[in-house]
Amino acid sequence: MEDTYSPEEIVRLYEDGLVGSVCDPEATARLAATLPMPFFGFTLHGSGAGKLSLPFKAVVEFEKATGRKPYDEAQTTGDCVSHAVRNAIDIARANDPDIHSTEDWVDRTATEPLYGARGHSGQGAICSDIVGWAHRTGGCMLRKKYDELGLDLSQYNASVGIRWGGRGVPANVTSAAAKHRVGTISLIQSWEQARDALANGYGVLACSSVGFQHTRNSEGVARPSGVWQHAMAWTAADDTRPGDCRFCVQNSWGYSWIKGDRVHGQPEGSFWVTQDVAKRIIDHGGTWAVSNVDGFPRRQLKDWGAKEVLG
Amino acid sequence: MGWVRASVIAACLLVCAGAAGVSWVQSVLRPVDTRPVVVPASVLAGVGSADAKQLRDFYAAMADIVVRDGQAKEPVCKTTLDLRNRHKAALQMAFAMTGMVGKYPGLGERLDAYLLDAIGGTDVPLTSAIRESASKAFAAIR
Repeated sequence: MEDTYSPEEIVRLYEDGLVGSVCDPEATARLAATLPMPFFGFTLHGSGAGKLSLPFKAVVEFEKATGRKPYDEAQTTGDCVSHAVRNAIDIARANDPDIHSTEDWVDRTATEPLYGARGHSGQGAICSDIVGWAHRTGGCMLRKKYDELGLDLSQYNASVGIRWGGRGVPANVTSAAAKHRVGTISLIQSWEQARDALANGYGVLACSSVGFQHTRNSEGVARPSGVWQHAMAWTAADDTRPGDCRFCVQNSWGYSWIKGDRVHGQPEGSFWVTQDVAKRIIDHGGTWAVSNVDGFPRRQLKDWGAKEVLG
Repeated sequence: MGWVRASVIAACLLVCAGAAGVSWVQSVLRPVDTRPVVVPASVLAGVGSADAKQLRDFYAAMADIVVRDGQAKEPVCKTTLDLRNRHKAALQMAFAMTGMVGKYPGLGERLDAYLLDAIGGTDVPLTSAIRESASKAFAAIR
């Protein structure tokens, strides 16, 4: 029997201790040892200082243009790491300078291959394993049908990733994903690095055990509450308040799990965290920046079909 | 045979409109200047007046549908490639078995060249601006 639940049940399961994400220091160290830039670099240091950076806006624009509701996928199993990695990847893709010239958005990234790469048949995943797979072994696949693979990823279907967990992502799927690798992943070690990454249009995902209230205050902020072994993407940074840089955290539990005010056009299902909370999360050692995704070349239309029909 | 062709065109466009979930009778075209449209003075050159009218009516309907599809809750065409493929299918349904196919050498090629120039040759999301641009391009075929 597969471990799928309603979005409401998923929220309760996480509140009750479901381990969706694991920050494994040894796995993180192993992955970091293979990376050319294991830690977020100094070259961008300070580039987000004092700024309001809203890289989620590019994702929202593309999502709406393709007829989707931004960030509407609600987990139905413990696959939060794949959602967080996907949402970080999509921030990087949507803000890549090439997206306006040689590359195309096409559609949001699919979560199933990422979750299928967790290496076991149970629920949950080690964060560094999934982000490492997207960087080294596999990569990105999109929410679309892959007729050549007999694979339909056009709608979120947790069962696909669940099934692949035990036996691994099929080789032909891994090969297809590897055409669109995440070129750079780096460990984030401070809130300043997270701020600078977001200011440059990089994606950020964070795995921790910090839980949150289900309400946002008038500034869109949710306060910490309880324990969630959970992964979520960070999609914006607001460093306009001296001493309190805030981050927009995008959850993957749909829209209705949290209520309250939203600011700066933040998407449904998201909330802001204060600088001290951001630091607590980062101190878990599972916050990553992703960038330089090998994107999807724009397709060219060779004609509009009239010659084929009319001659 | 004019009414037969008109019926076929109407049928295929109704299919498209129905799929798009849009009402057929109203026109909501609005004048916009999102992109200069090359007026295809020579696209229909040499086409008989009755056939030209059929094409004109066809593209007038396309101009209407492409905008209203974008107002639907779930648009049928989400990218320019979607629109290109629907355009081709609609052409097939409207003009197959009408005697129009192959009757005017180069007509299809001229239409393709015009549409590539006016709407574009890259698959991109059909934003409202691009829908308006495509609508103007279709409507200009006359």
